[in-house]
Formats: sequence, C-alpha cells, structure tokens
Amino acid sequence: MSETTTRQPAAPGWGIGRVLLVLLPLLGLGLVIALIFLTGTGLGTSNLPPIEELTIERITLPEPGLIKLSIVNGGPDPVTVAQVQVDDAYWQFEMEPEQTVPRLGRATIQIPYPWVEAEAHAILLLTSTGATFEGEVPVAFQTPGFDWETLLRYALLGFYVGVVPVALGLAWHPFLRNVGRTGLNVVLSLTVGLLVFLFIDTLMEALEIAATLCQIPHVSAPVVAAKVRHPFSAKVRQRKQPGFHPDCATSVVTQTASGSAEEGSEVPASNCRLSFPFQGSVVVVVLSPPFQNGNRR
Amino acid sequence: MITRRNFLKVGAWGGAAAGLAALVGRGPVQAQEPPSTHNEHLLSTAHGANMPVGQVDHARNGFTPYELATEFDTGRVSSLPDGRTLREYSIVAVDKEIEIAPGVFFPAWTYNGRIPGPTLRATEGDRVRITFVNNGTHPHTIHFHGVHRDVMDGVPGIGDGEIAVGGFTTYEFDAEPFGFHPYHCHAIPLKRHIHKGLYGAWIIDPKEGRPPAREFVMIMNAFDTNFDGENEVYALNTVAFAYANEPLRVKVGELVRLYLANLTEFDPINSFHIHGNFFNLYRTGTRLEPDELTDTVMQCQGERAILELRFPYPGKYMFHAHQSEFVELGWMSFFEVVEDDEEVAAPAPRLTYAHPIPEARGEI
Repeated sequence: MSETTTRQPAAPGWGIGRVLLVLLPLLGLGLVIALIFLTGTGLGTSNLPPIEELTIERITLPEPGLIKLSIVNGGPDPVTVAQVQVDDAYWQFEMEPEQTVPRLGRATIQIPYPWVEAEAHAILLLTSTGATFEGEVPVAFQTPGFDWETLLRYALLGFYVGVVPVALGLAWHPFLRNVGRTGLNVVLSLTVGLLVFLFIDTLMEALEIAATLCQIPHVSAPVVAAKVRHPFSAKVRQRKQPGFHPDCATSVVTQTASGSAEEGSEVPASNCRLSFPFQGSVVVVVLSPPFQNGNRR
Repeated sequence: MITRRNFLKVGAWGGAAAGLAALVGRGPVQAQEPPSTHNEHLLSTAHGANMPVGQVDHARNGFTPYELATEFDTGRVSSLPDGRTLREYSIVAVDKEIEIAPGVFFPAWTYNGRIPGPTLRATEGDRVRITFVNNGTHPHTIHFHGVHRDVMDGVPGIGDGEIAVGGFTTYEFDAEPFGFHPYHCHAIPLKRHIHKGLYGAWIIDPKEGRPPAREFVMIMNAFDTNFDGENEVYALNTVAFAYANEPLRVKVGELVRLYLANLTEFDPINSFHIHGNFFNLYRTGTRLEPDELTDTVMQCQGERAILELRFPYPGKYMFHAHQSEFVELGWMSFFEVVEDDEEVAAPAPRLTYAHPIPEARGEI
C-alpha cells in the first residue's frame, strides 16, 4: 500500500494549461445555456394546443348584488375569458384590464349577480377555447370593508395572538423560578416537543396549500419560505440558546396562540371561504404567502 | 377536522376565547339588503343580466341564426323516366371552428360548414339522391331517419359504411314517410360525432302539402366545450341566445310553423315552451291532425315535432326550454310579433342591451 502511495506522481502545478482544463468545460456549459436561452432547445411545442391555466385567487362579495373575482394566469399562454357563468347561468360581467389575461397576468371580474346570503354560489369562467375554471362561494356573506370595526377586529386578533399569550407566560415566571432543575426540564421538554411538532405540521400544511395554488413553479417557494418564517420557527431558534429560561412556558402559550390564529383562518373558511377578511389578515400575519387563497377547483 | 394540533389549540384557548369573544360583540354581517342598484336598470332589457357579454361574429361563422332557421334546400330537381321527381343534394363534411357564444369557439365537425347542416326538403314519394363527401379528419356517415334499404342507412359496416377521409358515397332512397325527421352522422363513437355538430333537419312534405305558413327550423342543441360529458352552452340552432338578441319576426294572425327537433347530446331530454300562446302539436309531423294543443313539449334525443300557432297580439314573446338551466345557459329566444308587412320580412335588429355595470355604460 505504501508503495502505491509513493508511486503517485506529485500534484501538477497550476499552469495555464491546467487552468484552461478547468475553464473549458465551464465555458462550454455557459455556451450551451446561452444557446438554449437564445434559440430554444429545438424541442418545440408549437404543434400543441394552448394550455390554459387560470387561478381564481379570491372571490369577494363587496355589496349585495355584486361578486368580484381576482384571477391570475399561471399557464404558458394568454387566456381569454369569453363568458362567465354564475350558478349555471351566463351572466353579464366586466373585466379589468381586459378579457385576455397574459401569462402571469392578473385581472379582476365584476359580476352584478344577486347572490343570496348564507347560500352557496358557483362561478365558472369559460375561456375562448371552451375550457372552464371554477370558483366557489360555499356560504355567501358580504365581505366587510375596511372600517373601524374591522380594524378593531384585527387589533383584537393581535391582542389574542401577541399580547395575551406572552402575558400568561410571564405570569408563570415566578412559579417556574422556583420549580427546580428537574421541573424545568420537564416543562422545557414539553415545549421543545410541541415546537418541533408544530413546526413540522405547519410546514406540511404550507406544502399542502402551496400545492393548491397557482401552478407557476416559482410561486410555491415563497409560500414555504413564509411558513418557515412563522413565529414558531423563530421561537425554535430562540430557544436553542444555551441555559434555561424560566419563561420558556411563554413559548408554549405563544405557539398555541399562533395555532389558534390559524384556526381563525379556518373558521371563516367554513362561512365564506374566499371572501372573509379574517382569513386574509390571519394568514398574512402568520404566513404572508403571495397567493394564500388558492384555487378551489 | 380535529387534528392533534387543533386539539391543543382548543385546550389552551377554549376558556380564554369564550370570555374574550364577547368583546367583539356583533354577529358576522347584517342581513342582506334588497337586491342591488346594479340590477335595477336591467329590468327593461331583454333578459336582464342573464346574457353573455359581447356579440357573435356571424360573418366569421359563415351563417346567421336567421338563415339557419329559414333556409330550405330543396335540391336540384329533375324528373325520372317513370315521371317521379328526383332531388339531388350535396353534403360535405368539414371541420370548422364555430363561435357558439360570444368569444367561445367550438372545434366542430359540420355538414356544409354549419350546425345544424342544411335543411333538406322534399315531397313525399320523391326520389332523393344525396352525394356525401368527407372532407373532415375522421370517418363520417349520414344516417337519415326514414324508410329505406339497409345499405342506404349510413351506419358502419353496412353498405358503404363509414366514409373514409377524402372518400364519398351516394345515399339514394324514396322520401317517406312525410313528416319531420333528423339526419346525423352514425360513425363511431356515435356520441362524439353527433355532439361535434354532424346533424341536420330533413323535411318531407305530404303530397297534398301543408297550409302556407311562415316556417322556422328549430334544432335544439348544446355543446360540451370542455369535453367533460356535460354541456356548457345550450342553444336553438347552435348560437346561444341568438334569437334573444335578434328575435324572429312574425306577423299578427299569420300561421307560424315550427320544425322542432332535439339533437342535444348528454342531456336525455330538451323542451320547448312558448309564452303568451298555445300551439298545435304534430308529433313527428307524420299526421295532418294535431295530437295536442299545448304550450310546452318535451322531446327525447332525436325526437321531433311540427308546431303550428298564430299570434293574436303584437309584442315580444319568449320561447325557450322549460328546463330553467338550459334557458340560462343559452336556450332562450324571442318572437317579435308585428303588424306591418315590411317589418316582418327581415330579421329584427338587435335588442338594445344596457350593460349592467354603470361604468361600462359610460354613465359614471
């Protein structure tokens, strides 16, 4: 073995030739990439029929007799919304900026439809090729506008999520101070376990939501990232600091509170999944995904 | 759904939420107000806001809804040695994109570039010769309802069977029995060949003729635009809401005769209902005495009838399927009954339509 080792030639120096040997393949790679970008792959798909992919991001009921949709085109081709059906009836509508939505473009549709409170409505977009995209209002309620009452709701929400749990956790501080090392370990283990579970669960949910979103490859990534920025994960990092913190119980409550806030996003979902501002606000607070409402097809 | 996480949430928040929720105080949203101002100005329009946006380009389609209802192809007429009348027709199958509702294009298979195909018309006992050329992209046939030999039946495997792309055949038979019949492609898969648009009307007049009347051919059809086995667009003669936009004009008191057939696929039945009037119903048109006086008739797929009526009063009278779903998806029409001879000759101009959204009407 030692002989073999000694027979190995000494490492060559970094002459011009060797540098070229490193660079040439890289240059080749750059050339190929450039060619693909400039001229395509030659695997043309021009013979295929257009692939239409519209996502109804959000349906709101801003006032009686009016339905508003915001849509995004996540497909490779422009899509023209030719007609709109509400509850299996063609209905007049107005679309901004125009009826043809370019790739990655957005548009809003206003439909003067006499929706019925507490009942379900189905919306169907018919494109120029006859493809259909469906939206749903499971239970119709007027979408509250932005006023003082709404603001108060949001403030209250913040109070639930941010102030109450911290206060309750701090209230435990005097008790935990005297609970002893073993007791503290018990509480801390419980906390860490909860954190890990919640983190994984949140991540799974984020991936699930991402899967229902507009099918643009790069859109799902921010959702996951946003989930990772979730307060839970922040807490996880915080708790990794060495030493014991008697107020670790705070984190338990905080996480539970955050979970509850998410639950808030599910409650209106059962009322009017796409129009209640509660959902928007909560998910923005907790998740901040760009397309949080998803496509409910 | 109760997950472990939800269970934990509930445990931690059950008590707190119960107390604090009271602070919010109010229920979700107040009860709904009366229907919006958005709808008020619609009441004067033909069918409110239940109309498509935009207009169909009939020139691009190559036919107008009025032509489809009022044009009859009586063939090239000659006499046979035995003195009988020979009528020769030409039908070509072609693929064609048809605008079935404003902005909605259906990749159709057609006879002579239109749906329904040409309305063929003969008199009972005439010899009929139809030259069929398949310029489409799939094998097709023409199967006529009527009395004839099996080789002229236009079904796969009998006679010339399915006519290959680029091929042709001649269907020849005597026109019988008198009445109103459909013809359609019988190539397989049958359902698709019919719903793609290969069908038309075939009228055999009785020898003694029928009383003079203003006549319209009305084929109830529908289109499955996303090919999911359900129709997205319903219509009378292909174009949704066509006769709601441009009512069919008739004159007060004159006899109006409708040749009504159901060529809808996927839905087993379709129906016809007239407003403000009743009609005499001649089922399949094979007898000269009416079967029924009614204002609504139901037809299975392939069923047909001749309807006769007179409008005693001028005005606009709706007619449509009595399945409300079909109405709202396009099978909605109007007769406009006028007293002036000149007015009745031409199709009515479009009903003025006020856009439901004020901004779009330029009012705000």
